[in-house]
Amino acid sequence: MEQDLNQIFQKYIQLLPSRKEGMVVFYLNQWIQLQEIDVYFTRRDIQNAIQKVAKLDGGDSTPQTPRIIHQLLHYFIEKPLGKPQRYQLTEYAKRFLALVENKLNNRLKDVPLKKSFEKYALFKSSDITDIAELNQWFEQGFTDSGREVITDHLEAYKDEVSSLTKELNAILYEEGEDAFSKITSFVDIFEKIGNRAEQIGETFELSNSLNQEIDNVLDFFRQKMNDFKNPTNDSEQEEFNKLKNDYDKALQIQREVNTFFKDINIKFEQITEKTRYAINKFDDLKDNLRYQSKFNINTRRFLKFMLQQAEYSKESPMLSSDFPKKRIVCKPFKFINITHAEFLKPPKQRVSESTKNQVYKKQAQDKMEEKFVAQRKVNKWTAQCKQILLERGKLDFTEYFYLILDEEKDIQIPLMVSHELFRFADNNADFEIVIKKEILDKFRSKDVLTWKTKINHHTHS
Amino acid sequence: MENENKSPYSFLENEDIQQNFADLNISLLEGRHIQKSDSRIFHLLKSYPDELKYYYESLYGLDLIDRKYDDESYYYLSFPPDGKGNLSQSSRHKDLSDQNTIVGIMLLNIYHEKYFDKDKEVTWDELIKIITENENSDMYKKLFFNDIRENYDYSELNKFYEKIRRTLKEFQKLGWISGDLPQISNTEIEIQEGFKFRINVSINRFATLYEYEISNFDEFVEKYRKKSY
Repeated sequence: MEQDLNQIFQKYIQLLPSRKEGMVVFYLNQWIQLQEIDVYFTRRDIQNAIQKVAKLDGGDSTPQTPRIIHQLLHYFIEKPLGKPQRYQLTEYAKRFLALVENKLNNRLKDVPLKKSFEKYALFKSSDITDIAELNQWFEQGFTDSGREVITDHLEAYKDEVSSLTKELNAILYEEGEDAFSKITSFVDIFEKIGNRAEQIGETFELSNSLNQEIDNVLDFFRQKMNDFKNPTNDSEQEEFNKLKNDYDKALQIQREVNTFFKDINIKFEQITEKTRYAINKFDDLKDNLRYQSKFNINTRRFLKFMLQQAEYSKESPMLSSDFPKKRIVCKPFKFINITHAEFLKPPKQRVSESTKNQVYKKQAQDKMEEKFVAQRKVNKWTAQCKQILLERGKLDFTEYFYLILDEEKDIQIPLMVSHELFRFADNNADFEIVIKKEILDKFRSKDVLTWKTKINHHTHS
Repeated sequence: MENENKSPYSFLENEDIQQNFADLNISLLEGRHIQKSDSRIFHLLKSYPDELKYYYESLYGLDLIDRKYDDESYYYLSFPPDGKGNLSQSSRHKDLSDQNTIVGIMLLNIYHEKYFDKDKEVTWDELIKIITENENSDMYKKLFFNDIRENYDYSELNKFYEKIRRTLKEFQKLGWISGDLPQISNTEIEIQEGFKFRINVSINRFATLYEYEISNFDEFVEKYRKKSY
């Protein structure tokens, strides 16, 4: 795509002629039509056309014949086979001429719209038996004929309204009775525009029938798909896929037709709105044409006179000091915005409800519960050890350490019990902690090893 | 009986007035011409025409004018024929600048040249066409570019836009036009694409301001030339 655009960019000047080059082609074509020159024209004919165009332009510039012929030879004229020293218009040139002609004088605008639409764009759903037929109608009946004829009529309608508005605006600058005589001719133009609008409106009504037919076709394809049993093998699956594709294609056609009518309806309404406005203004004007015309002419003269009384100044144009100046009421207001000071009023404290994460809550509760259980165990073992100390006056903590570890299967419990007991003994002068750096043989096979530790009560009897 | 004792200002207590009167009052005193597109405050003027006329006449010594053109009403405050009311101080009224007068009369012309057009819109391309191809184009070129040529470069067009934008901004505030007036930019395309304004019905205020000069054009020119205007 990018490559295509680059190509267009490179060849643009040759593909689209300049005004002078284009007008040469128009002159040559006209002379051919009038049989003033041969279809296989000569270089002299081209030179004559170039001279004609130069005159249109005021005739000041010297025509550059070789350059223009060279440019046209790219796409617009060619040398026919077997005709030396002769030229002919290319097919591209003929299409270019037709395109311009069609824009200026739309060939389809005078074709009765409703009849053309009925003939080309409408169809009977009962005639459609497969998707190929619907596709054929869509491409040939609708896209190539129906859609084109409606678009051309709408374009013609738009051009007519635009041209009418310009003509109407111009009559307000006609002096004296000329305006009155001219205004009567507009009645015919309004009637013509009204007829076209009516035709387009009637065709929109036909589009409802078209929609109904497309709906029927869509039902037909949908039914075929629904009636098909569930595919049980590849061949059936393939057949089913084809039915589904047919239905999707029909649906796509319906969407395109609907979108077209929707867009065209919006454009039609916009143009009609402009027409309605112009007609209303036209009706108003019948009563005050003389006043409005005089006002418009005088305002234009006043503008011209004022511009004559003005001169250039670097900052802005200046009027003569004698020119009447006007004044209007104007009392500018100033608003002083005081920034809102937050410190004068402490910000409101709000309790915001936190969102609850139930999983986290459960995990936290379990963890706490685990800690409470562990603590209870530590308390129980510590109390037991203290009881032994008090009763017996000594405690072989090494024995107890492994006893606790064997029962609780959690190293943290005997460690915390030892921590509690040592803190208890350390804070109490009656107790002594004796640690010997030796490991008892019977505990050497344990995963956790501890020095031989005893706590003694000095005053125990 | 009840009505006889009613204060002429009692309408100020009505809810719709309470909600929108500040905006209306400021807009009018700032010189804005209020029309249909100013929906809320326009509605107040439609609802309380007599009360508001009395209010401005008695408290400010100003006339609240109601004009109609193209079936569309617009309102503005004006000085009474015999003076400038309570806004007589120079800070409370505004002399239209020369450029504003020139552009105003130019827009008034465009508005009426588009008499049958529903949309009285002006694009950048149209404005340039008026300046460079119109019957008055030599005068416009001289006034805005100080040089009569076929084409102007971007820097010259930018300076022209800067001048014209200033006036159009003021006109927008006064309600005479509405639309998009982009900032000065580095490319003409940005102005070309973004610049579009609609001439509002209230541009006809210029027709009122220059009513004598327009309606009696020949007489005015004659007097002007004799310096007896």
